[in-house]
Amino acid sequence: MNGTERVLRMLPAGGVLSLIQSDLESNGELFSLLILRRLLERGDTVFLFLYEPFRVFENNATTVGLNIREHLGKNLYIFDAFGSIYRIPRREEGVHQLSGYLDDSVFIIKLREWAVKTLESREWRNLWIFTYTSTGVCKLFRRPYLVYRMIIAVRELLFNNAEYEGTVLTLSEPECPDISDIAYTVSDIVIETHVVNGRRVGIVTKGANEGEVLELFGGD
Amino acid sequence: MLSWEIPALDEALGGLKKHSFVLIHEADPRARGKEILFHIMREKLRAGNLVGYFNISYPIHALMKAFEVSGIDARKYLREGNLAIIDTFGSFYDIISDLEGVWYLRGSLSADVLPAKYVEVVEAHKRAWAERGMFEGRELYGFAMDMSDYIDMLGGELETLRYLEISAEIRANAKAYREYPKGTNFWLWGRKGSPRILTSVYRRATYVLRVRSELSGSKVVRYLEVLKAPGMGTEIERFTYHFENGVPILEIV
Repeated sequence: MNGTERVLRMLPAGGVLSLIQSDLESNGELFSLLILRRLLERGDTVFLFLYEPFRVFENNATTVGLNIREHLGKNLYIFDAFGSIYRIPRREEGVHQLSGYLDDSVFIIKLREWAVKTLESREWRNLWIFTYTSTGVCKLFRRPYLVYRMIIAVRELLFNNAEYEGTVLTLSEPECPDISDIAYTVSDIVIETHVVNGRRVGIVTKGANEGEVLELFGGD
Repeated sequence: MLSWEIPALDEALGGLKKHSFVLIHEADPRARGKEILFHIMREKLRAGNLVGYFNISYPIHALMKAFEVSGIDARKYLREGNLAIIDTFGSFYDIISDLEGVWYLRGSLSADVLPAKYVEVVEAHKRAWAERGMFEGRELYGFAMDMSDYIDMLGGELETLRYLEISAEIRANAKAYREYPKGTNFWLWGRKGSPRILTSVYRRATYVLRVRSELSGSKVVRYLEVLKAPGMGTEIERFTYHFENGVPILEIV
């Protein structure tokens, strides 16, 4: 079983997994995209909250062998926070942006409206919430810790019901230490990614498999 | 003496002094100090005690998820009345829930008016406990988390310092604390703020525990140090700990 499969099996149904990239060189963000690839390829539906530039996301997805265009609008739906804030229009199907004036609190209100509308628009099955990367809130908002806590609350309000599989939050500790504390508190599983003796590993720091060390890339 | 709900601490400290203030300083989130606080709270509720939780940090829905992850059936205790939540975060940022047993501070809020508004809701809930005869045979505990978030909420360190130092004096004179039983209080302090403000909270506390973590190879090692306690000796008492099913297991170093 490879790393992504092991991680997905650790997560209780409807649970929250936080992947915290502690060392940049561990490439924990790419590992999280491997999880995304796994979910999309097996046909699950993913709502992805994008706080980084779209092209950065697309390029890194390509690096791990994931062509997002094959899934966009089919089982991948992107909420483009970065593009909304900087008003960089995107025409792709399955990419949603917010229009009009945005600040910290307006963003939360509009995010919630969009999520409610989208959830009600049709039946969803095997639904996942995914962020790439949560850390982006530190670059986009004036009071990131506050915005992030509100986002977590919106998730709890809306995605706390049937047909909802789980949440994968991707964080990068060096960029945005402010949000790690809530990630620890509300997550069922936390995995930190580090470089230890020249190896890229994930260490389970919270959850039933606490203390387990995973090979992030390759392996059996 | 009360119990810490952590056998190693009960043994090392000879129990927990009633009506004391306990400060848990979480030096980094991986130390998971908040879960130590949640563990103590869970056990106190399970034993039938009364708990007031001061929610400084999270929107109520996120807090309920955190309780769930830590094995606290908050909805049940709220319904039964053993648990009261004073939702400071929700009051400041206008996120209101209709859960029973959750209190909000009304009107405009600032460092100056906060102590009086707290006193109001604490008195109202203590009155409810008294009317239902719930103080009989039960201990009262207060948990506040995360006190270092006041720095953002109240608009800076100076305001927070003033609030922290004034509010305790106001509380001491209020009916809520004179006419009803007093609690034993736990505060969690995260990693925000300068040493100056932490020093003030440290001085106020009866007990100070610091938790932190480090990586040794690919193993996380967590430390708990007793920095301040009645009857402490010269040597700082130091434990390592890990979690088993959400329960912190301490070993003396």
